[in-house]
Parts: sequence; C-alpha cells; structure tokens
Amino acid sequence: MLRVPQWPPTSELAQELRARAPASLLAAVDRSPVPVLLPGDPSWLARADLYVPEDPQPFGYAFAGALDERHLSIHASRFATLLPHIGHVRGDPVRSGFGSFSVNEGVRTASWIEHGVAYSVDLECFDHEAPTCDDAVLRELVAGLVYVGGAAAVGGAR
Amino acid sequence: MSRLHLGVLGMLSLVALTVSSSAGAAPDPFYLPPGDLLPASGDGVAEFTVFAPSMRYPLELGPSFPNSQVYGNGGLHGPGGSQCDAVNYDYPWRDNYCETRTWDMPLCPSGQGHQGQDVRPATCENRKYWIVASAAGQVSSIGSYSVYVTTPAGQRFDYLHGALDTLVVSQGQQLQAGDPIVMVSNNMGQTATSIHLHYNIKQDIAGVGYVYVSPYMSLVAAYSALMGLGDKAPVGALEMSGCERIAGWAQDPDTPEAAVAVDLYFGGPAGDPNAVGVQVKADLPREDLCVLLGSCDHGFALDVPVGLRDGQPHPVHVYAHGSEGGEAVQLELSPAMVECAPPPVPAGVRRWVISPEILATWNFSPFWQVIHVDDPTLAAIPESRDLAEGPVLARSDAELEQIWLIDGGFRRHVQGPEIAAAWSLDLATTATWSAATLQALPEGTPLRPAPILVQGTGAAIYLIDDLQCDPEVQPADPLCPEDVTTDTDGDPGGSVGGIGNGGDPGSDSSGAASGSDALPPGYGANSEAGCGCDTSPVAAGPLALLLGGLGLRRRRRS
Repeated sequence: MLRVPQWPPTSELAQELRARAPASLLAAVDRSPVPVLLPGDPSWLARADLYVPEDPQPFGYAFAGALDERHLSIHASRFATLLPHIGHVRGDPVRSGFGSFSVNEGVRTASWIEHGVAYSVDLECFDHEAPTCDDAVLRELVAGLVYVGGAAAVGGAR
Repeated sequence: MSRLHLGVLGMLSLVALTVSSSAGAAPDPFYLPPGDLLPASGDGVAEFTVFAPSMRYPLELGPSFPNSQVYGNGGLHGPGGSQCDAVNYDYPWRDNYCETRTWDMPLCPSGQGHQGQDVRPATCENRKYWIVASAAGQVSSIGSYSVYVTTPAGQRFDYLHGALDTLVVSQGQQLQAGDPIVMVSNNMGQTATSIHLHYNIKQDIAGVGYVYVSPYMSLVAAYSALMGLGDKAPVGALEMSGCERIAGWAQDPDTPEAAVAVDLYFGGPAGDPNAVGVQVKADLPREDLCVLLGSCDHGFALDVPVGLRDGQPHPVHVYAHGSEGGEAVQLELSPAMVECAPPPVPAGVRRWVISPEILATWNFSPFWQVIHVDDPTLAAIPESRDLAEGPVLARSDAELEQIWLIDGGFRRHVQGPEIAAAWSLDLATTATWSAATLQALPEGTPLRPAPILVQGTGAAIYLIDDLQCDPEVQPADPLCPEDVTTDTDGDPGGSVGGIGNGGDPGSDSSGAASGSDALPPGYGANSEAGCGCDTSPVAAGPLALLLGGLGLRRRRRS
C-alpha cells in the first residue's frame, strides 16, 4: 500500500545544502515522491548519487555517498507491504518518529518512520571497528539529516 | 557475521581451501523449515513468506549451502573444526535469520538477531563463484564489502563479502536478474570473515518500516528453480472468475490425496511488485473431481476482494504449489479477468487512517476492506477526526463481559465476539477499569459490525464510521452541531450528523467518580503520579482520552 507523505513546510528546507549540492543530485531530489533527507554535512555530497526510478510511481529514493573509507546509504520508501502476521512494531524513538538501530555484518543501520515515510540509513566502513564508524557516529548522522526537498516541495508531481 | 579465529586475510590464503562439496544429489526436501536454527543459536522465526517470488538464486551455480557461519564448524561459536569441513558443504539447508546477535531486529522473536542468510557456494574456495543479481534493479550502493541493488519497487537486495577486485558492476548501473556482480570471498573490509555470501532482503513493511525480512523461503524457491528440484508439477484449472467468486481446482499428482496451496495474484503475475497475492487451500469437496482425479477434495474458492470491486478490470493469475515445495505452477485458464462494480458506501463519516502503521495496528486490510470511490463521492462524505493510533479496549469491573472500545473520549460497545473478530480486536489487551471510571465516559455508538474503509484516487484511506458528539467532550468534533448527543440508537448504518437519542450525556460524566476512580496508568494525563493538577479525574480522564484521539493532527498531505 502507498504511504501518504506528510511534507514538511518549505521553511524547513535546508537551502544552504541545496545551494551546495551538485546539480545532478538536486535534479534527482526534486523528482522524489517523498521528502528527501540527506546528511547535513555537505562533504557527504561530493561523491554521491541519488536514485529515483524513472517510473510513474517511484517508490522513493536511494542515496549513496562516500567519505574517506566510509559509505553511507539512505533509502526512503512509500511502498509498504502489509503482512497481517507481522502487525505493528513501534520500536524506539528515532528523530521525530519510531524505529530501531542495529548492526549488520559491521554495517550500522537505522530504520524509522518519519513524514509518513519509511527511512533507512546504513553506514559501512572499511574498518567497521573504527571510532569514526561506531554507534554514536551513526546516531549523530541520523540526527543530522536535513530536509532538502522532493517533488511536492518544488511544486512537482505528488 | 562470522569473524573467524583466523584474523587476517592473508592467513586464509595459506589454508588449502580445496575441500570439494561432499553433497550428492539434493535430498527432498533439501532444506530444514524456516525458523529451525542450529540448537542453542537463538530463536528463529517460522516465516514462510516468499518476499521475492520468482527471484533468481544469488549464486550463478549450484550446489550451494545456506547455513550458519558463526555457529557452524569453524565459526566463532561453533563446535570447532574448520569452515571448510564437509558438514558445512552438505544438505540440508539451515535457516540462520534471527540467529543470536545483540543487534536490534524488530522482526525477530527476541527483538534481536541476524538480519539475513549466510550462503556458502559449492566449495570452500575463495573468489571462484559468481554472485549474481536476484532481480532487476539499479546498483544503489557499493561499499567496502557490500553491493546493494534496489528494484524499481524499492525492494533492496544486499550482497556482502564479495571480493571487490572481482567487481564487474558500477554505482548506478542497471542490472537484470542473473547478471554477475562480484565473486564470493571472505572480504569484510579490514577484518576477514569466512567464505560466504551474506544475503539480505530489505523492504518496507507496514507497521515496522524499511527493515530486513527473512530471505530463507525466497532462497528455497529460487534454488528449486535453479536446480530443477521437485517432482511432478501440480495440475489444476481456474474455472470461474465472476464477481461472486473465483474458483477452480488443483492437485499434486505426487501426493494425490493431499490438499495443495493455491496462490491467487491480483493485478499481475507472481513476482510483479504491483500484484497482491492471496493463498488458499484447495481442499473443498467436489464430486465432479472424484472420477477425474481419483480424489474429491481439491476445489478452491475465494470471494472477490472488496478492494478490487472498483469497476476496473483486474487480471488474476492462479498458481498451485506442490505439496513438498518446488516452484508454483500456473493453472490452466489462468490468467483471467475480474471486473466488478463497487459495493455501495454505507452512510457515515470518514476518518483518516493516517499511516500504514496505524492501518497495521488496527489490522485493517486495503485489499479486503477498502471500497474505491471517485473523488467527488469521497469529498461528499463528511470528514470527522482522524482515527486513533490503535484500539484501546476496556471493561468495567462490575460487568466484565462487556467490552468497550475507548475512542476519542467515548466508550463504544463491542457487541459480541463476532464483531471483535471482524475488527481483529485482541480482547486479551482489554483493561479492567472501575465502573465509575468507565461510566464517566459518554457512550458513543456501538462499533459497527465490521470495518469498512474508503479511498478516492489519492493515497489517503478512511474508515467509515459514526459521528460521535457529546457536549461534555471537548474539543468537539467539528462536524458536531452544538448541544447534540451521539446517535446511540444502535443503527449500524449510522447517520451523518449522528444526532440521536443517546440520553443526557451530562448524567454520564457529571461527577460520578471520585478521585480513586482516576483512569488507570497510561490512559489519561491525570493518572500521572505526583501530578499537582487541579483538574478533577472525572473531567480530565475522558478529556485526556479525547485529546489522545485528536492528537494525531495532520500536516500537509500530498
């Protein structure tokens, strides 16, 4: 089923980050059917891609950025699969919503619902035990995500 | 994750990893059930859902052996031995999704566990076997030891521990199912692991979020297809696809007396991300089948889901499973089309179910319960307050058999177990309140016999319900006229406006309770210990519940 994105007000747009984002990335941001959250630190955007399927009904977006030997991946989805036997797992507070923090094969992960959309962040490091890749860093990255736009934010298709 | 006792990549190359697979032909079945983890390795989950139907097995060649790295031979918590021991390269497969870890995993029974499935290739040899794409999609991330491929529907397949110097894809590249990606290795960045593919499927699950789901049965289905496992294909036919029902028969010739599972996919074939699947059992008695099949109980039937009664044609594809696994087979005369007029929308007001999480909490099903209408019809239904985050049930300590739904400051009678079942209410969660506390809440209309949802052309889904009005409950629903009461005449059809003969609501909530009848913990602001509030419990409790119900205020809807 489709999630209904709840768009933040335009005043929350990270205009400074938008101004520093590569044009190709910004073009993808503005096609996203869900609010796009990206790292507030523009260093993550220097080697980055943002994928929004060329589809009349894109699911959301996938972002990949690299900084030093760290790789950051963000997925946002509005296509939820409803499985009656799973029900509702509320989780713990994450940003303004609820979700969980985890580690997968050394890849640190956060998942949560915000703006009515399912978001997920993965942080992977060559040395997954490095201090620059610990749980605190992931939480800081998640907390530092900023709203940079989406189709509805720029008056595009909703 | 399976960090080896050997800690560095270089040491592994010194070990002659040349043990060939000792496995011969795959036994039938070749896998242990989902959730059956190695002893003392945690609580698995018996998840039979094939989250990626028709996917390609993620290794180019078989045989292949999904099993535990950490708890298997040579693993950190294993019985000893080497990762290359023959027992690791033999059937049967073993699930290790949800295997013990200390990491949060919302879909695991313990709330923690391993997020995917560890898969060994045919032999214990490094950089020999290709990992291939399970499904078409775009390479959405390449890390130090991971490759993520995201499908157009947003499902993500994670391939970990490939040797990056064998990588043949690039960031953003479009892949087809079966395209090579990288070779299986022991790469885990700076620290080595055992030689295996760690395989995840990540997708958006209503009620949970974008999380790791069990890949085990998807791997089983894909491997069956890759290796041609299984015996005779099931047979059957889709005989009827009218608006009353969809019906036919199916049988597995290998087990002619057994009832097989039948999958009905609406909106597309199996594997289409837009298709919705329903599984039924082909076990209905059919006299006409007795002679034809030598066994009678092989019929199946399904009512056309309400969500598909929208006046539009919908394809239905029907498949039968063999009784011992294997790939499902499409039945004769499948696909067919169903095209049915929508049922009438009952009178009432509409209440926005603002998110899939709330939809899941209420156990609502868009597929079975949503009536599709055009936007003017939707707009003509007055919009009442949003539906609460989830059902709150209470009973009075004086009348334990009566169950009430606490809804926005009102108590609404759940008139019997059938209605509770139709709403999927979990009666075990019913709290027991003092009679005075419960009586302090104005009585709203009884809960309708079953939930009916409505949706226009937009994504928003609404519950059709009765308007609840009472002057004592503030802030009142904007639809409520001044000085009116809720319609409690029991008319399940309800009436817009909801003004009826509910009695004097003031008598329900005018100071009947004492301070000791404050709402139980968690049900109202006045129950907070140490609260110095001046508000009386009687007034504050229902008000708190009402405010709770009204608390989900929308922002901008797209």
